[in-house]
Amino acid sequence: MTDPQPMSIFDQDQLAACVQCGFCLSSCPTYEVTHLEEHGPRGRILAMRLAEEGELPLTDPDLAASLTTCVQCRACEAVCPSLVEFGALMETARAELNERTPPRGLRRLAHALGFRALVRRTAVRVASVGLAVAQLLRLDRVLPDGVRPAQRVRLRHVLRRYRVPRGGRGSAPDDRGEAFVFLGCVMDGMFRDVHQATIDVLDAVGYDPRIEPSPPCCGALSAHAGREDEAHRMARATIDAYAGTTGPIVVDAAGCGAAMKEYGTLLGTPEAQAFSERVVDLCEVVDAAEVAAIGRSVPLTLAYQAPCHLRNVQGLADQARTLVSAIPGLTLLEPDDEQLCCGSGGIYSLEQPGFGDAMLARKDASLARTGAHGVVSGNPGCAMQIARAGWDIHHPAQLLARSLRG
Amino acid sequence: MTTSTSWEPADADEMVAALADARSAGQAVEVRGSGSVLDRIPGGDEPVLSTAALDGIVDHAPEDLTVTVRAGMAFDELAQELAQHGQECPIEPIVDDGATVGGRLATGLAGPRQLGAGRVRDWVLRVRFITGDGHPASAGGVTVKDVTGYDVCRLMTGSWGTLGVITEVTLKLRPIPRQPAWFATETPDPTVAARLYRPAAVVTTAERTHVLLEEHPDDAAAQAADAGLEPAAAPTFPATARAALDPAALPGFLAELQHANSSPEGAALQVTAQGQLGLCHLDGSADALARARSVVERHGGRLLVLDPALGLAAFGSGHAPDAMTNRVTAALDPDGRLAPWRWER
Amino acid sequence: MLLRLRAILDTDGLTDGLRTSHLGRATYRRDASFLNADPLAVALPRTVEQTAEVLRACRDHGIPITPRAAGTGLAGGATPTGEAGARPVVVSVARMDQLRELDVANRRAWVEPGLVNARLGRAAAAHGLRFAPDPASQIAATLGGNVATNAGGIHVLTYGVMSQHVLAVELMDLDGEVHLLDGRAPEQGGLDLRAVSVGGEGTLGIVVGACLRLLPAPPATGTLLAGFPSLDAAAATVGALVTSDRLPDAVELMDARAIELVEGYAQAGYPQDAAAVLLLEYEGLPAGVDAGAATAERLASEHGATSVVRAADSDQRARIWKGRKAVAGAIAKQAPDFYLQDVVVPRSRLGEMLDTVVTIGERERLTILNVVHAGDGNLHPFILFDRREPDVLDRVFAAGHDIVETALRLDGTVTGEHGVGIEKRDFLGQVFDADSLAVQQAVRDAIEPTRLANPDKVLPTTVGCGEARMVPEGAWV
Ligand SMILES: Cc1cc2nc3c(=O)[nH]c(=O)nc-3n(C[C@H](O)[C@H](O)[C@H](O)COP(=O)(O)OP(=O)(O)OC[C@H]3O[C@@H](n4cnc5c(N)ncnc54)[C@H](O)[C@@H]3O)c2cc1C
Ligand SMILES: Cc1cc2nc3c(=O)[nH]c(=O)nc-3n(C[C@H](O)[C@H](O)[C@H](O)COP(=O)(O)OP(=O)(O)OC[C@H]3O[C@@H](n4cnc5c(N)ncnc54)[C@H](O)[C@@H]3O)c2cc1C
Ligand code: SF4
Ligand code: SF4
Repeated sequence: MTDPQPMSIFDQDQLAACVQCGFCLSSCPTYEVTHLEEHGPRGRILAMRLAEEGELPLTDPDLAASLTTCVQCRACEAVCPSLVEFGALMETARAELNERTPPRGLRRLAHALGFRALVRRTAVRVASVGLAVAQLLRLDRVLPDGVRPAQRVRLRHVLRRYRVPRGGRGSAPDDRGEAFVFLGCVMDGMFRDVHQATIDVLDAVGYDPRIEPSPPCCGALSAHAGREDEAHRMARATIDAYAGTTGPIVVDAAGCGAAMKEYGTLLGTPEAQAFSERVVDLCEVVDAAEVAAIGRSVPLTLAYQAPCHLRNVQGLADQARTLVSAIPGLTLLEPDDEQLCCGSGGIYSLEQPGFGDAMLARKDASLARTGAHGVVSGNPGCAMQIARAGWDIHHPAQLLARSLRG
Repeated sequence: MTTSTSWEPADADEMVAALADARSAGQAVEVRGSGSVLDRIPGGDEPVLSTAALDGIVDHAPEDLTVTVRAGMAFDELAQELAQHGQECPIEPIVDDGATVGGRLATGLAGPRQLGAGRVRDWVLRVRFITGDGHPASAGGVTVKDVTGYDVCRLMTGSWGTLGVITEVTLKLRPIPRQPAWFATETPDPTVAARLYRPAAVVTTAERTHVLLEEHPDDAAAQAADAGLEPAAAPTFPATARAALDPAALPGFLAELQHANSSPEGAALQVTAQGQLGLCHLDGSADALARARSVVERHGGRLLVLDPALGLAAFGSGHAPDAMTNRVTAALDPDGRLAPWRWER
Repeated sequence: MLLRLRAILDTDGLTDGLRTSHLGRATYRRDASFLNADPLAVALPRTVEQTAEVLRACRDHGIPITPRAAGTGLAGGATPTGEAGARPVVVSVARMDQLRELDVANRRAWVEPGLVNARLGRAAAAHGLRFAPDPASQIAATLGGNVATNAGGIHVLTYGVMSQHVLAVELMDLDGEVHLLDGRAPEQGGLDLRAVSVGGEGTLGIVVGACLRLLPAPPATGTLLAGFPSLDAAAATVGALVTSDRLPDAVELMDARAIELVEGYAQAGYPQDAAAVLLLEYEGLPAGVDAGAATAERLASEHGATSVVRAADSDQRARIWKGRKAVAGAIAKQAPDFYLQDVVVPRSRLGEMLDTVVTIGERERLTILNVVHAGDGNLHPFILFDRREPDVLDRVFAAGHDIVETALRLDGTVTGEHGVGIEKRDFLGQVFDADSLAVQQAVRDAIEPTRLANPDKVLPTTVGCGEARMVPEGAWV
């Protein structure tokens, strides 16, 4: 091995912004698993500094492991008193790592196929149909446990066509204008029932819901995996697709919403900025008071799980919680794990099964302590991960639709 | 107690000289405040080093909430001085027995208000003292917050004259509560404490549970009404012995005492308990106290008996020092000049 | 030696409890201070038994240890320096993080040392109780670390520092033996060794457990924000408040620079034209809280306050505190680094002290913000800088040094809550005379005779200073 050289890959100001105070440690789900600094945000920033200064190469196995074991939940960013933009630093680190040690063998194949599929709606749909059929026939059992999606994908949902009510048919007058439901990739493939619920809810609260245009993927997964160029391409394609429209772009997948709200910073153009400002989570366009007043009873006792990208990036966990608990008849319980990440993190649970499983076990135990019968979660990744522990998952949109539509 | 030799130094320098005197005579000494406790510990006629001449306030800074006094000053005199400025240091003894400030610190025995106000050690900011080997030293500082170095200041608190002679003390102060008032339940009910927000003191006698409320009078009245309390006089305390044990073990201890009390051969004990603190004050015969001591020690606690006429040791085996205590004592008093017999009496 | 440690600790996969790799060691070079040293290895025992075995192994090989928890300390206490360059093993207690027992009836909790302060708070809150010590770092700092540094917070004036809330400490010596100091019973004869172990900064052994006092949560809270035309007026108000008939439970002061920065960042509604603001909080039963708040309003006005606001509801209260809590964020927007000082002066000298800090800042051409636990006379000047600027560290440390010297000159002391560590070690000769320092050393040696526990810390050493180095300019690690 040649001597490591100083590099200049990171944003200097960002690396310098961390004062090593350690406030972020207890919020980091991977630090909570091992309690090692190198598995916590402060240690990871130090690792980046060591690489930047040339004390250790980025490819040092420990250093690389420190960086790749990060689930990118960005809980550290949300609590950092010094406003370190950890998410951006980590994406840079991942991109650089990918360049130096591209995924090999099976992993490479998986990445190549998986990420390419995301941009092609049909590919995801075909995969989803395949999965549904496989699950139906119990063929999925041949897959190893960590890889097998636990989420029950129903053929009926995968194959359903969206019912989009046309102006005036909703229960409220359509005086709030058009709202565009972002369909995305995995959601459109596997969670069409959630999108349908979102459409129904928007209709019920007075929007005129639209599902066109429908760009194929927001690019969030690519960005997290350090596939920078791909992420940029997808972002631009998404923005272009909505050109010429006005009104909110409603996202019912927290991860996508978070990524789209950050297009402005990702691309740095005024156009991207303006686009990001249009992006809203479903919980931002539905009024809790209205739900409490007009909603029908949904008699369920559920535990609330705040998706990381809703809580830490969009800062909407409280708003979403308030909204769901406004549903008459519904009892919403709060787990005692401080809403640490469930370990899903896009494809993280597949790439880091040790950490992913430990995080899931912690989440599962905490959910079980609430005594709830099911879990509310607004992100597909979380839903699939938590379902692995045997939980019924309800998307807020589905609960709202049930309450508002009966 | 008759004393063979005694010194009454007037300042720290004289105190150093007195200790040197004793050392050259090959004697160990007993430090004496007002003697309110010391005279009740069975003892011989050891030479006495009295703090009586170390009297008076050195500095009172009302705005800093601190007062610096010489160790021999009587606590109640200090209290009167402070009261003129509307301030207090809530570490008064259970009965006004002439105790000195140094004696309050050295024994560390706090009164009933420690429930709300904390222990003696929580009010000590700085201590000046002469070590057993005759060096004048100080620990702590005059600021209310100080983590500079080891907390030797609190170590001196409760050292019963075995580590050094305390010559000067800086205490933390607070405003005197405007209208403190004692209340009581009709029958003994220690659980009343849990129904009140931070009562200043809760004392259960054989007849009732007394509660001291120091909050705003309106709050006190509301609390008393909610908890079913009536205005009452302050409780009085038996003053022969004092038991200290884990609050969780206290009910078991009391039940055992009561059982012994009610049996024909059981000698009567008078008991006043401070449940949340794990404290009990007792009066009774030598037999009864000896039995109480064995029960307390079985519950992991300690019984202090202060009546030489009873023929009981003051401290008992529960106070036997461990190795670390002995090492620390030897660090400050290497030649065993200061009451090396303390825990054996 | 490392083999022996490896045999004691699980060293496979995720549970790896011994780090000797370059990165593994590098991430334990420092705490939140600016002091660095490379450890020999990092050990993370899971149990008290494992900890005992680790300590015995180190003792047998004469290798020093540096106890560590969350590493939020600001005095270099967890920086692994050893005397004469010996490299210590860092012993992290972070994995021992359980709440052993919440004894609601007797209002106390038995905790493992790695339990995070805020987590105890949350567990207690579920029973209407609270744990009073609330250092600003409570979100991450551990209770073991709080015990070891005798931590403070914003409610010290009436609730006292950590020591008042520690009923018992389980201290492990280098032989691996655990000593229960103090205990469950109230004091009555016997030395208060507990008191010394609180604030021992890892030099007396490892805290492997503690019993902590819990208090009922206050039924009512009154929060006020007052703006003043001068620092002196604010300081005088503090003096009047503490001599009034009810002490506020929190008295925080922020100076003009702090207000300006925070307002620009967090819009907490602080008066922009004020030279200082006071944040006051009264807790307890409603009538007492009202009376206290009314007195505070009156006294503030009498001392020339230009504005006094009392929070009408919890939202407004949160807004008032938001400004205080946003200080670090506001600073981050201004400069990448800060050096957080910690000195105490008698309350009556506060005005003088604050003026001098301003002068020192001007002289060294540094921005210094004052955030003060005013009720305790405890100042936290934040010295802002960018370490990439040439020679800036010299000026920063000169300013820090002068601030400490000033506090000493005003009868104050060198640390109120962050501890001595390495940072303030060499000031102890100025705080204590030779005899008092000898007492300190004697007590330390009596409790920890091997001199292997965090050897380079707290007391000035005669052997030259160890491997610690301040961050060289331009460097990050
Ligand atoms: C049975 C009994 C129970 C009691 N229980 C309580 C109680 O629960 N709460 C309460 O508040 N009070 C209690 N007291 C009273 C209290 O302990 C005394 O009032 C007081 O603290 C002793 O002060 P003194 O000056 O008389 O000390 P002395 O009796 O003279 O000395 C007591 C001890 O302190 C040492 N000492 C005194 N001065 C110094 C000094 N300057 N430097 C070093 N060592 C010194 C002596 O060597 C001796 O060991 C009790 C008293 C008795 C008799
Ligand atoms: C921005 C910021 C704000 C802060 N605000 C405050 C504040 O308001 N009040 C305050 O008091 N402090 C404050 N601190 C300082 C710090 O958080 C405290 O000192 C805290 O108590 C340290 O806890 P820790 O778990 O991080 O311990 P560490 O930093 O890991 O260790 C601190 C010291 O304790 C020793 N130690 C740790 N654990 C043990 C153990 N189990 N046994 C023996 N020794 C041990 C270490 O050797 C070291 O000397 C602040 C720090 C930062 C960065
Ligand atoms: S909280 Fe922020 S500044 Fe502090 S260590 Fe973590 S990332 Fe760095
Ligand atoms: S993003 Fe999440 S996993 Fe990664 S360092 Fe931050 S808190 Fe830890």
